[in-house]
Order: sequence, then C-alpha cells, then structure tokens
Amino acid sequence: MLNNKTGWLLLILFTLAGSWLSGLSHAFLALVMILFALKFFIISYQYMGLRFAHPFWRYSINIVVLGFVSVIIFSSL
Amino acid sequence: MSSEQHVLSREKNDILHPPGGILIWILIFLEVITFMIALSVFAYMRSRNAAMFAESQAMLNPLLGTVNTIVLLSSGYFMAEAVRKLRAGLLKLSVRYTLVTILLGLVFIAIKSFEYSQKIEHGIGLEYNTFFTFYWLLTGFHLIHVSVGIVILVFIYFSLRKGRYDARDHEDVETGAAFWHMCDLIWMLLFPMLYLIN
Repeated sequence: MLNNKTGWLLLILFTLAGSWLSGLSHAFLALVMILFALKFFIISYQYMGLRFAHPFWRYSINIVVLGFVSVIIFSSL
Repeated sequence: MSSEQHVLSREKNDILHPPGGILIWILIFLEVITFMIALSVFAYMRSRNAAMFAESQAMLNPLLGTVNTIVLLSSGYFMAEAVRKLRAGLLKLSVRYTLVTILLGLVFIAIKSFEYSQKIEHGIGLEYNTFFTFYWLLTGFHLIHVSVGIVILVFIYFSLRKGRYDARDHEDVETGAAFWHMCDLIWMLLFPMLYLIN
C-alpha cells in the first residue's frame, strides 16, 4: 500500500513524464491520459481516503474517470 | 492495524459516511463530472478545428503549467499529512502542515495570475478564439475553487490553533481537505487537456 510521501513522489514523476511525453510526439496521447488517470486515482484513493469508503463510491469514481479517459482517447482516433 | 486504520475501516461498510461526509462527495462528483463534460465538448471542438487549437495551445506556457501542477500536488500532500497528523493526535504538526498547504495555494494563485497577466498583455482575452474561451472559463472557474479552498483552509487553520479539533472530532477538517483535493482533481483534468494534448 502507498503512503502519502510515496504517493506524492509518484504524482510528481507522472506529471514530469506526461509533460515530457507530450513534447515528444502527439502519438503519446493515450499514455498521457493513462498517467492522468493514475494521478487521479492516487489523489482520490490515497489523499482523500477513498480506499476506506464504501464500494459504491470507489466504483463510481472508477467508472467516471475511465469513461472520460476512453472518450478522450477514442475521440482522437 | 493502527487506530487510524481501525477508525477509517469502519467507514468501508457505510455508504452514507464516506471520508469527509456524504455532502462533500456529492459535490465532488458533480464538479468533476461538470468539468469532464466541458472538456469533452472542448475535445469535440478541437477535432473540428485542430489547426486553430494547436496554434492557440502553442501560445500557452507548459513550463508554468507543469510548475503549477507540482505546486498544487505538493499542497495536496501537505493537506493529507495535516489530516493524518490530526488523526494521530499531533495537533501542532497538523497546524504547521495546514499553513504550508495555504502558502502553496497562494503560490499557485500567484503563478496563475502571472500567466493571466501575460495573456492580457498580448490581447488574448475571453473572445480571442474558441480555445481561449475554454481556457479562460475553465481555468477561471478552477481558480475560483482554489480561492474558496484557501478561505476554507484559513478557517480550519485558525480553528486548529484554537484547539477546536482533535484526534476524535475532526470531520470538518476532513471535509475541508476533501474540497482542497477536489481542486487537485480538477486541475489534473485541465492540465493535460489544455496544456499537453493536441
């Protein structure tokens, strides 16, 4: 399980990786969006305590985020 | 299992009591879904006029966007730690971490204001083109959320200093923290869509 500090390090790493990848090529859109989803999950599950919430809240946020990522990736194809 | 985990694990079976309270989570869902719908419309508009959107995006400063993302993520870390320390009964550390969170929030506003001033200097306003209409509206609404979040955190900071919250009674702090993290979540949506992807 993550702790807050490891979560923060991963968030910074994913942010820098996303900025770097997007500068390399537009072909990395899917990867940038996956990094976005991972950051979203780290913040909600680790910082906001969603991992301790009822499955209803966890599944709801998972569906919303994955739905949005899918829409953006498929709309760019 | 630590006492913190024991308390939190009780919330697992209670749909009406997510961490921070049900009302803040309803608000978070509504806010996140609203921004996602706006960004989906933004993506659709971009697909219809890709060249103009790419040109406009090139006028943004991705370095400032990246720095602001790191600032906001760091403030989120300190807020999460402030709540954790409070749960563990370490009130002084919680007060200190809340103050750092507020200061980083102010740094975010300062950087965003600098970015806005550059745009205004170059005559890039709300009606410049479709891209910048989305840019000003989406980042502007987010900035309002950050400003409201700072007001909430200042209230929490002074309440913590007065000893109004402790390891057992701190739901208001959790709610305020959830609002602050919501600002993080919304920025996580805006940053790649506006600054990175084209």
